Amino acid sequence: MSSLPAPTATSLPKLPALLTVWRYVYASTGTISGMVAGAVLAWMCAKLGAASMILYAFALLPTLALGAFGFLYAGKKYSNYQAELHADQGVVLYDGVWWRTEAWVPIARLQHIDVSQGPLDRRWGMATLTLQTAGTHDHATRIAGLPVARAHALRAALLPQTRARHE
Amino acid sequence: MSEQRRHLHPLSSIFLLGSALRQIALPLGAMLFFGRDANNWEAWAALPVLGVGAWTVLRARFFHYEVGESELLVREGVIDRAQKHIPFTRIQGVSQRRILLHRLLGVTEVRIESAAGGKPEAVMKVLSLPAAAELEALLRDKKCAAPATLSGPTAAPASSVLHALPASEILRLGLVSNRGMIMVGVAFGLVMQNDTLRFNFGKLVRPLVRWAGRLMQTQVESGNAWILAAGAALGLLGMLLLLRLLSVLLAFFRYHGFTLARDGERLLAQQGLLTVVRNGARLPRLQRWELEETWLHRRFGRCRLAVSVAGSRHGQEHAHGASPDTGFEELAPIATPAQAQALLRVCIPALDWDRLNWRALHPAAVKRRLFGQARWVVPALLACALADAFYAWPLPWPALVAIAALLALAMLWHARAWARFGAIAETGDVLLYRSGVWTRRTIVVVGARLQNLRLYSSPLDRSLGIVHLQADTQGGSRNHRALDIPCLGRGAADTLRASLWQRIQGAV
Repeated sequence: MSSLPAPTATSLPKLPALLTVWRYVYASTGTISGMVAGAVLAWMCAKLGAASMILYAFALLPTLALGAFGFLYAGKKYSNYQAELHADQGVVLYDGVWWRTEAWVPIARLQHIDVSQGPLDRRWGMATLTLQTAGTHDHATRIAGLPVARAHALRAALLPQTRARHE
Repeated sequence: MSEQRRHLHPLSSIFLLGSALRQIALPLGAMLFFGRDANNWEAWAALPVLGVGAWTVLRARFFHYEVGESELLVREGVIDRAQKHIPFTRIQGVSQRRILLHRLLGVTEVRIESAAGGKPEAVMKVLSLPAAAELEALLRDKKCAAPATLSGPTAAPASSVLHALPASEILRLGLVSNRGMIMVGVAFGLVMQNDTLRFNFGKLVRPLVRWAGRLMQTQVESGNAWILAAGAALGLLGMLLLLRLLSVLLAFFRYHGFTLARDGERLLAQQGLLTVVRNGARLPRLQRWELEETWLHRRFGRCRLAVSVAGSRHGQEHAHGASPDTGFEELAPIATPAQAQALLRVCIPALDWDRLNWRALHPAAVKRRLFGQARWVVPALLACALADAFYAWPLPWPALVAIAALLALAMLWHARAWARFGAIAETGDVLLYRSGVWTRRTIVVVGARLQNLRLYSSPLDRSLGIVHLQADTQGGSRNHRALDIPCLGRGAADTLRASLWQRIQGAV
């Protein structure tokens, strides 16, 4: 990202387990869609009367290619993914591989903050922090891959400021 | 005196019964339908109606409210009693809705709305007109009394009319609007979903289609192609005229007697021919303004000024029919640009339209628009060419090339026109963004009222060195962002983002 963070910005940690989760998700999505595509291709080859070896190759090729692609995509997404805390101002989240977003969420607009954990998250001590504003379209910003203790600490640190500003 | 209990209007049970009957209409209908062969089905059908009737009378009797020192107290319920305390500071708007029957009987339905949005806090169904006026006055006085120390001597300025629509303007509004077409579309969709309706519609339309087909055949056989073309054109024109006529009619139903008035920091809009709706909103609650000029608007020298209010039910309760929406959505359904600018000035005193310094978007905007459209059009054209080749060129290839060239020219013209009009302007806390070719939109937001900011870029954007700046407000539409400025240079976007970020920080 070309924009320089303010001097007070601190990068929030992301657990390597997040990369593992994303690799599972994207590689399996890629593999499954590859299998479907391969099956369609193999069926078309069978209709045209191709030899059986070519048929198997056709079925395997997209499966392998899309699975590997999902695996690499997860790595790229993980290396781009970064949350920053700007003290007393807000949180910035950088996300995306091709379609990139940079979400700036001001503390002054926070309505409430949730910490959530899925089953895989619990296994690796990981949590997702959800920042809610009163907006209608992009009202929730989710920061994934935080260590649980850090997520709770962040929630506690951001909340008093929210309350002070609303009263 | 203000402590005393107030009840609903004696006629309330009629209207409560009306809405209750709507709920039991389905089971009742089923009963009438299936129980028809029983001897005394009328008696059986009367039972639930009587029961519901008695229940609504009781409910209306048990509903009452009190205006206290700092809150509105609403008590309701016959068996399950509920008490609702609504602090005056939370009440954001009082709206009224009067259908024809309300108006004949001289009563009105009052809704008390809070900042939370969604369902109204309390619905008084129904009050007499003097009672409603008294409640509104009481609420206004109490609300004014609370922050009086801050705002100084607010001598409750008499309400002044900001905008009103005479019949000639409503006629223009109808001619410009597309509501007739939407209405026909919705009706068509409803007919197509219902089997019996579809069958009857088919029976009605089939002879017409057959007659038209036969006419066409005889004309083609006798070689009168010109007469045929003229007939088709006339038919199309007639249809368009009919749709416009329907639009005008709908406009009169919805907007008859539209007035926008200001009462202190409250704006009040009243409109409607049969059903009269009155909506209010407080000036500081307004979040985003949109000045819309369609091609037709510009032919008439008019525009439309829409607004979104924090905590409104925007986009959820849209009525397509003749009765107006309940919800504060328009400051002016139609106005001259000068009037619209004056209205904006009322909402944002700092905004001086004539001194705005409009800055064009990034020079790559033309390319961005062109590539953005080509990504769909070029594959579609290629597919057409392939299909054409597959069926042995029914359309000769020079014609295809000519069509492609014309399309490319049109796209180039469109992209350049878009980039020429697209611009942003900043004055103090206010950010404006205008865009569009046929329909021109100017979006106005106040930096301090934005909720969050986003910078977004697609691969195409990054290769051209541009980004989108997006922002969200309270109470906007769920379907699109309050503000989405595409084609800003990376540096310009960062500067703008930083200045808006500072405004959000300093706002509280």
